[in-house]
Amino acid sequence: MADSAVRTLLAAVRRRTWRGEFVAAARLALWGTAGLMLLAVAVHLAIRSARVSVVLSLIVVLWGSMMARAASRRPSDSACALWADRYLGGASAFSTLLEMSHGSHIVAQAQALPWLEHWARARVPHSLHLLEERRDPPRLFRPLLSMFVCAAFATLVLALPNLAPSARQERAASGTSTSADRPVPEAEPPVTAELAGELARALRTTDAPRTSDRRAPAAGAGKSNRPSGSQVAPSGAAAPGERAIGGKTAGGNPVDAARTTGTPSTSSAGAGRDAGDSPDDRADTGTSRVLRSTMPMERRESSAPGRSAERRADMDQPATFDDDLPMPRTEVRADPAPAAATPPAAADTPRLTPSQAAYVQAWIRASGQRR
Amino acid sequence: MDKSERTTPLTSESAADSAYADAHRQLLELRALLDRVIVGQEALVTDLITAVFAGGHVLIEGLPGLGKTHLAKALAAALGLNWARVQCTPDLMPADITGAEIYTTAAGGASMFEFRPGPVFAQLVLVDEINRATPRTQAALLEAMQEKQVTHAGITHRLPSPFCVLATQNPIELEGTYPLPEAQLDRFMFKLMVPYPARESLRTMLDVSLDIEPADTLQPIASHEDVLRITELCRTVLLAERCKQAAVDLILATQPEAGRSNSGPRRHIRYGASPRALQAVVRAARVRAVIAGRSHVDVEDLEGAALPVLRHRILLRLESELDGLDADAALAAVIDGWRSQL
Repeated sequence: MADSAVRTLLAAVRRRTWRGEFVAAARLALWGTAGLMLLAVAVHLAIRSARVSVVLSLIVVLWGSMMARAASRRPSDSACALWADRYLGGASAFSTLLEMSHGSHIVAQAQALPWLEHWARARVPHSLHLLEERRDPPRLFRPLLSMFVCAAFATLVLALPNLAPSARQERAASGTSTSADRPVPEAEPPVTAELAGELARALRTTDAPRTSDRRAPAAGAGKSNRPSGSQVAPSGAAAPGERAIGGKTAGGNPVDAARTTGTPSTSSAGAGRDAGDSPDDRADTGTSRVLRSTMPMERRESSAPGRSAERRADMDQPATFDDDLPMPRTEVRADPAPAAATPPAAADTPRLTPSQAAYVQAWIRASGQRR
Repeated sequence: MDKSERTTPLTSESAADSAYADAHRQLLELRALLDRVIVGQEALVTDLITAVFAGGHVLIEGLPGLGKTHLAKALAAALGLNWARVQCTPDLMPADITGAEIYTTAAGGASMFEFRPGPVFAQLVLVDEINRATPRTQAALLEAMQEKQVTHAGITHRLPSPFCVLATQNPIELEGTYPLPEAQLDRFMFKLMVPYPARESLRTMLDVSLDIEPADTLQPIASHEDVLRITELCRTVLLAERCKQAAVDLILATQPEAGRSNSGPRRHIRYGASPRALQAVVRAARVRAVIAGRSHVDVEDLEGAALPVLRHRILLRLESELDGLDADAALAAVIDGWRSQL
């Protein structure tokens, strides 16, 4: 129903818009080419040497797909009519005329359609004039420039194949470099564990005779139920000499041993067991001194007899507190109710052994659960 | 391209006899005539012509002295329609508008009740200050507007055709008024705002209407048959699928719960336009197309008809009203957003 004038306009619009599709596809392909070249450079520098033929084939595929996409997007009549309505002063006449001419609508308005055809036909020359005057810049300069810059850069980089790290590695592997020049892996956990195990075994074998010798007097005071092998301290534990001194000094006095090592006194109350042999022994409940640094105490004024009167008389003297005085050992021993176990004082053992640290962690965890 | 190029009347000999060409010519003549009488209100005159030929009723809002009554008189005189004027007051009764039965005695001595039609039986009814009438009277009038008939004592009386109500209301002095409810506002196809004339228009008024009343001297350029013919012709204007979709999108763009996020201008709207607004927009767009010399609707016709059709059919949120936003500003943003998506 649309006459030849309208068809001519739609054909001109189709040529224009289809050409615009190709220009847009070329623009995209130019940007894509530049991106592919940069990608090739990155691959060449980071992973391994990129082949120029692969890059070129990718570019050909990109351009081919873009052109095929543009070719497949041939504007339809309705799209051309809509474009003419929007940009060429059609005022919806061309799309309405095309819609009515397709016969999809029953045209009951017998007068309207001839007037519409007449209106559209009269509008065609003006629309063609507008179409000729219309200038759509292709906007290809920037993508073209980008593609040239990227191509030059890629040519420069791809011409230097030795920059690829794989090539460097191959050269290093085939060269005369010694094993010391090879890169050392940062961490190898299994090997480190094996080395640590070997080192621990070596330390145990060297410490075992000395430990048994030094424990001989303590063993005389009380027999341990454990075999001698089980009394060997783990690697990294406190110095064996320290425990031996504790054992000697105690001489059957478990309180002294506990004071030395910071373990509860009842843990060594058993015949001849050394304090600190194992974390399980230390976890046993028993009486312990309340240490200043581990438990908050209420500081009271000293109530020592004989001294309080003098101090009350002279108010200028500074007051002393109970914790400044030595704690009587007999009271600690006679305390029937065992106090809560406390971790070793940080002041006594500036650096905790792993077993002590594990004990402290367990104690803190247990105290937290009790709360 | 400027708008004048797109609305240039076609003068081809083959189309000279077309009904669309005649309608287009008559509408342009009517507009030019009213523009000479009502100086400086070109957009108002175009919208008024559009509403009359689309078969709708018009609510005109403006300050006193801006020529609302003058415009109605001039329109009636130019179209050759009989017209009536109702000045609304709080004591106006429904029978004062629709008519009443009176007891009469014939010459032979027979007595009977006779129906005396009220002013609503005129073809063009000017209802001045409609918001001063009581809701009962307003309802009687609005029922006649919708049904185009009056039922009295069980007898239905058809209103004449064409039938158009031009109601005016004053935006100030709201004391003692009864604002029209939303349901009754929806009966009006257009709500037109009468702007204050520009300086040049004021100057021209002195030459046109200082000593004479131009509306009284107007000669009709059309008859009510012409009005009916053009009204019927406007219903045959082609509407493409794209324009139908655009009209639906326009109405949905005023809905705050239309499935999209309430962002942008629609966040100011509490209640959007009704489906009756959709019909009104399309009918008005058809008349605008004929005024532009076309037999098909363009999106620009929809855009031109949108504001007068929708401005009294939306309700703004209280927060937006307190921010000083009015319906015109909110709708302008809605229309801009709708147009940008086409």
